[in-house]
Amino acid sequence: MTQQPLPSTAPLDGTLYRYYFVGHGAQFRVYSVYTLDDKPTGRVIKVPLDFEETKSSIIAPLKLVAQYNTEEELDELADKRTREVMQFKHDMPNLMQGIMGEDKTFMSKLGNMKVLQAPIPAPVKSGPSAYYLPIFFTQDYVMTLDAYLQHFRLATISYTRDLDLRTIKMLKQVIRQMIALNFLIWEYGIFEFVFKPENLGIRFSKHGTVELIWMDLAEHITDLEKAEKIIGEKRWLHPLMPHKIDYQFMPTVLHDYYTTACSRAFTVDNLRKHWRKRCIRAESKYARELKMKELLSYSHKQSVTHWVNRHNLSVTLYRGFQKHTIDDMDIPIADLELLLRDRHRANPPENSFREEQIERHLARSKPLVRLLFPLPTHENNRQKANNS
Amino acid sequence: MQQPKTGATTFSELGHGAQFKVYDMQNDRVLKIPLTEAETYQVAKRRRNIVHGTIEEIASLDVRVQTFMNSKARIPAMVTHHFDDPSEFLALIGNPIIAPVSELLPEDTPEKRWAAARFVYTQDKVAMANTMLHNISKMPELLSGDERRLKRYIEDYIQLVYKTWEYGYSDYIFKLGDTGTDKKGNMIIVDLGEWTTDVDFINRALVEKWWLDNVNHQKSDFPKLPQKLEDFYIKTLEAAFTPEELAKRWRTKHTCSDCNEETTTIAAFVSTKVAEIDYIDRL
Repeated sequence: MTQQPLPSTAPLDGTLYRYYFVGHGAQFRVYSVYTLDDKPTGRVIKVPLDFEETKSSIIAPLKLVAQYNTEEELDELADKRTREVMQFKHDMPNLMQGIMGEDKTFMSKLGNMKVLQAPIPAPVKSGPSAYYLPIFFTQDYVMTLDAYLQHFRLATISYTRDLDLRTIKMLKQVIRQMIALNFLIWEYGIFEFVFKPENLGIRFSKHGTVELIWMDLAEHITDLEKAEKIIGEKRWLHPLMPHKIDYQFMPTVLHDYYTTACSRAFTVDNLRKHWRKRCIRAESKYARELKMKELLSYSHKQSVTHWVNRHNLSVTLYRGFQKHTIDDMDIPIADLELLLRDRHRANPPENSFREEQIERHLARSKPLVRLLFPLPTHENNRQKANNS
Repeated sequence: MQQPKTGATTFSELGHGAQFKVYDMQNDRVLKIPLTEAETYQVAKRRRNIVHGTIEEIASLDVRVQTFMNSKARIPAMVTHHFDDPSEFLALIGNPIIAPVSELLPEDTPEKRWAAARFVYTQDKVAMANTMLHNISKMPELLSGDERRLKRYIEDYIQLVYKTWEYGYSDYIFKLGDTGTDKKGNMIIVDLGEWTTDVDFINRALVEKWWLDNVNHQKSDFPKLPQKLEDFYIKTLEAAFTPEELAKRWRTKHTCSDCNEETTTIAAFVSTKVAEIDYIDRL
């Protein structure tokens, strides 16, 4: 795998590691973890934002999209949104427990996310032996898909970018993997409802192949009915809409292929086909095993236990952390305290891309610009073949 | 202050009732943290509370919330009662241990009020009957194997309640869903928030058959037994949960250093006084 470049922010020196701030969302501040000799560990640590910090991070985008008359109304909306965001973060450990945590392939697609819970001494005013227990996560350090896609900004203009066949093939692969990642989580009964490419990460093998992972899967639901409704709204088109300022605008050159591929994939039929497929398989497998144990038990007590356990599988199969989902970096408590104190960080400047704004602006003024240079799709190819 | 190690424990939320949030400690134990008053309001609002056997609303929301808050405050006294040998009694209720961290709950503020229930406790983790009953209720029909086991489960439940009576304690809600089985197959009552030591009160609960809530379809907060088993349940419990059966067993194993003549008198007096306030429990 290719190594990530050293982030440009000033590091925090901990006891065992050095932490470079790489960015924040509404839920976490993310730091890449290096040794004190600046050797990459290949991991990041996600530091949870508290209520106040979350609120201050959502207020600016909320101002742009929310409808309100007074500052008090805005404040109320911000409080509500903050609570929602905090709740999503709170549900994140569910993604790593039970059969999902056992599935190493699935965990690899979540960037080998691991949970890190540590009792942090609370401020002195809370009492001499008081602790609190924030939930950190560590994860593989990969490039954000967003940053990768910046390389294809304005590729509709041949003077700014050149797209060779290999790159086109890779971009198509990226879009197919975006779809596959959604199918994968659907099979565990999880539905990511924002369809933000920013939530994905990308890594490259030595042979140049790409692998996409979920970097941020916090905004998810588990209700099929709601998921079907969202599918009907075609939210995956939001990154193509210039007025959707809460999304990074997708490079224009990808629009055509992305729309065709996603519209084919993200249907209610496909959702139902994939929905909880792996859960159902696991539930049936374990139910069969427990039924056998129940029948073969000599004691009444044991057989009742197996029977009750069999009827609890819908809950118990999704509970419990595997050893490999609990962080093993031995990050000292003092370092965690240091990271928690490093509040209100602004995103580094490379997170705002000028060419993104230009493309968005062009799309606003000339909505058909995307048709100028689409990535070849099956239809294009077929049409070309027919023409020739 | 001793520095704890990272990764020593990883808790995950299992759910909540009307009184506690429950966290899996990943070591076959759960941790229960009391809900604040505001959280209790949220839960109470979702639940329809009715007088036993009727559809009449039991009390105002405010009063119900206070009852939830007050009744859980009695748990520490039950768990730490000085039985000569508490192990058998504690095993019936999942070996609860009051965690020595009560100072962690900060002082009450208007937003966060724990009132009298300022404690957290740990308990054995069990496979819950609640989930089992929900799962069975979703099945198109009750299979004969499940029917047989469920009948046995009800019979075991009766024996479990009998054992608690021998120690002079009884749950007065009789929610079958609040039981479960531990790893060794022992049945346990996990909800400790609504128990009494008042024999007159529990007698009344038996006479008025509060246990019928398990088959009362108006009581939405009770997981229901399959309809096919309702008759069996009613007949079995009518025979088992009688004042005579209670009298035969009440406090027969209650040997402790806590209860002397004076404390018994004080307890009886306090119980009477509490009855005047805590009237929802006593309807």
